[in-house]
Amino acid sequence: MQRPSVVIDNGTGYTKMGYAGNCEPQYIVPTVVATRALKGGASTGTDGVEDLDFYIGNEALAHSSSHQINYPIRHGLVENWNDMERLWQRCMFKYLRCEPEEHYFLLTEPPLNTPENREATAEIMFETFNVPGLYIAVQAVLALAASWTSKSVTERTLTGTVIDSGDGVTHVIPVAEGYVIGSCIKHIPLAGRDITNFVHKLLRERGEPIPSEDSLEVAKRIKEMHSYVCPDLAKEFAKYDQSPDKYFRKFQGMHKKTGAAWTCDVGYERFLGPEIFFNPEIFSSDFITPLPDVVDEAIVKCPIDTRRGLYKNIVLSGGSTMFKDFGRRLQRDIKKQVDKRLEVNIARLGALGTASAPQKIDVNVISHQMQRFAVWFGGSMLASTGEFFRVCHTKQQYDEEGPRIARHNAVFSAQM
Amino acid sequence: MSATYQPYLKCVRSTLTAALCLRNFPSQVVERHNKPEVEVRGSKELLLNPITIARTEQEKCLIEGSVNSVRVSFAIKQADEIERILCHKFTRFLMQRSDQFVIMRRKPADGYSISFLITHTHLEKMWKAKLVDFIITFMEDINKEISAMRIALNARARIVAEEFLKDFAA
Amino acid sequence: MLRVELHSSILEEALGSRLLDGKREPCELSVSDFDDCQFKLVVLPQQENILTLHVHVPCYDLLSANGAADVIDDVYAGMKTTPETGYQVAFSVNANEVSNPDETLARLIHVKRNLVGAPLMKAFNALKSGTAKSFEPLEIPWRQTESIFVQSGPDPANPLNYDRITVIFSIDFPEESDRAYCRIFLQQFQECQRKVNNAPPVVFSEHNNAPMEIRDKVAASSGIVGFVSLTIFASHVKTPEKLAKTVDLIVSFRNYLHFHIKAAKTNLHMRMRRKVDTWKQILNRAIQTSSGPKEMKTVTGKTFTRKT
Repeated sequence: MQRPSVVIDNGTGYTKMGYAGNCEPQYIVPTVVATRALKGGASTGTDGVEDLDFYIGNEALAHSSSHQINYPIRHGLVENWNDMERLWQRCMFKYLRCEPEEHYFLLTEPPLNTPENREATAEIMFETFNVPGLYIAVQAVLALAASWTSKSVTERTLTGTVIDSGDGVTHVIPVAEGYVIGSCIKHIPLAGRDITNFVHKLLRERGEPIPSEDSLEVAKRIKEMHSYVCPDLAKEFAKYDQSPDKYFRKFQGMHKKTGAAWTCDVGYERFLGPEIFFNPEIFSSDFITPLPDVVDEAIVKCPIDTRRGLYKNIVLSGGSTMFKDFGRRLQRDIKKQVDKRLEVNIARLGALGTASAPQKIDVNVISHQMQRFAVWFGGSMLASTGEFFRVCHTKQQYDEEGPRIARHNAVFSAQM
Repeated sequence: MSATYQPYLKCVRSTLTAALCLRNFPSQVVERHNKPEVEVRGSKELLLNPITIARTEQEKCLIEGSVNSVRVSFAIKQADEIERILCHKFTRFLMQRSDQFVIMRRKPADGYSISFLITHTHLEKMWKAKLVDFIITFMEDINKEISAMRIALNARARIVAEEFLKDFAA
Repeated sequence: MLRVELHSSILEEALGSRLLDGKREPCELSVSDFDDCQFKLVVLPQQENILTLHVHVPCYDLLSANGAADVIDDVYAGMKTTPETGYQVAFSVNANEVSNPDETLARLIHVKRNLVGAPLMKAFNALKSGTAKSFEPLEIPWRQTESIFVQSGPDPANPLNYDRITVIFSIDFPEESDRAYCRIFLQQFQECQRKVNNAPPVVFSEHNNAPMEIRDKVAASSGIVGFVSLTIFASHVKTPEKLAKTVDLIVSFRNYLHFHIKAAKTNLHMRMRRKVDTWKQILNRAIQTSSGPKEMKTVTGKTFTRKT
């Protein structure tokens, strides 16, 4: 019986891991390692097994009083290889329970990862764990592949713009035929955590009776359960004021310590939270470019022959793109900008007397079921095809050539 | 550390200090090229006689000099299979990171465990005495570390085995 | 983490949420486990209370002939159904009608241990009841190059008294360094056994020196790492708890060894990284620092020179 490949997506905030062929990752744990703080000077030459006294994920957070919490990945890049190696060790032997010698591995990397990091990854995977095959995929490309499950996708292309919004930061990443256009990537310092903070602030300012120790957690729940994106801010306010009963929601909670039940109202924050993507000035004064503008800027910066493809296939990935109607609003706003620019161009060309008017530009924002773990899901999908085994770097190749084989990972789009 | 080790290191140190007498010497063959002559071996008159300092059959040091570069290669003592594997793994690990150690070669010279290539540009940027110090400390350390690793491995295996067998008795 | 768990926590979570917390959601979950085992949990839409677990274990026929079939009839009574192709056995439970969910959960997640441990269970029970002599020697070709041999043996002082069961693992690892580390670990098992009271005698023998009991069964030059034999006496299986524990330990022996070999390699890597850092520091000390005005950087990345 064929053994399934293992897909591990190590993100800055969370590590998603599981066996290929499943629809969702088997584990989603925070990417943290809790190690025993070494007593002064004892950092060298421990002969025992003290180095096994560590935890990862939720267990690590639970042991924060006795252990030191480390974040091995920062801004998507691995910073501490000791912790990373141990994290993988736990993933394999405790969580997934796979013998690394018997499963192919698909790992992910952020765009603009360095080749040295890939070498270091390959070194650990092949030398310590003796994996038979390894492929390091770019997260954005996997997110594109994941969008193939959407009904609105007619052709399976690896060209498109990925909007990846997790907890910490939002990226706009243009990808042409499986290659990330590195120079045109844009970052937005607004993401899930900021929405939570904003909702939290709104609730507090209104003086909702939420126990202060769980207030952030409650804000997060409210964000996840009740938020959506509105088409027009002013109209939405008017709607709420006209018929509050229809739009205001109640949130019920229980006091953690006393066990007393409490309720609070959920009002404007339902649509104001996600609105910070579209009108960032309501939340922050440092960053005020709306997301649709950033996407447009990123695409306009790209090579001219890729732009139509990039507009046509804007793919969402990550938990903070899950708000209802997020895609629709984004599509409308980008479309508006593109059309406006096109009109100006047509007018200008008309004045010059050029006969042929440029074609309309298609703008499509793709939402799909698997958005939350799009990267992992894309990996799971690709890793269960035969093509995957062909593009993997194998142990034989590694033994012959060394870690440098991992510098380049062939683009592949599996025909399924 | 055994008594014969210090003289060996001392000998390597003084030979190396003497050998590290380099000057800028552009290539005689290609204009505007400047290559380490000890590597390209273009013309005989630029190369010096190589010197081997051996402590034992397996533990030795080869110093090859030339007008603008010196290559130092070490063979590290490997008493048995486990030391051989540890040494191989360790030197491979180091050479994989040789860009962080500016003077380390990505591959050792034939028959040696690890090699360094020092050119005149290195000497212009670094203190010669400290460079020699580094190489000597490296030599000392790598031997110590390999034995330490071996001990650690055994200690670890003992704990692991005990832990498992204890459960039968419990 | 020193020990490797016996069950897959993925299964525990998937089954537990349905059996204990009343989650009703369709799913199709395939997971692997150590030793080339595979599980597939299927919950069909519309029948979200029916949980079907398909199980793939190597050497199923052999296990089944040597006790696993009885375990299935006994422990998983009334749960057996037809497995999908590729899986050898399947169990199905109705989450709405389970009388003792905690226990059912424990049984289901330990299916690998129960099936693989069945022949051991049989052997140890024979030992307990004094019928060890009639226990037929058994070889389970567990992996491609590795087997588990189970057989009873007599007391050397009294050849008529069959008082022990010998479990011999032939152990192999594909990679050279793994093999070397494995040898160290196995030697230490043999060493340590003397220090631990009541531990079963452990003997490690190299691949060219197979233990007497099985010498006629293995090829002389198989090129594997070696053999480990654990000798279990009646005292190790006295009580049902001890019996269960002994089976647990033997079933997980190779996983434990495997995990610790990898962990030792990780530890070596950590040492090497630390050493690289110290050497880098020493080398950097050799770099001449130029005197004179130095170019400095501000936080934002602009450069400036300090003129004093």
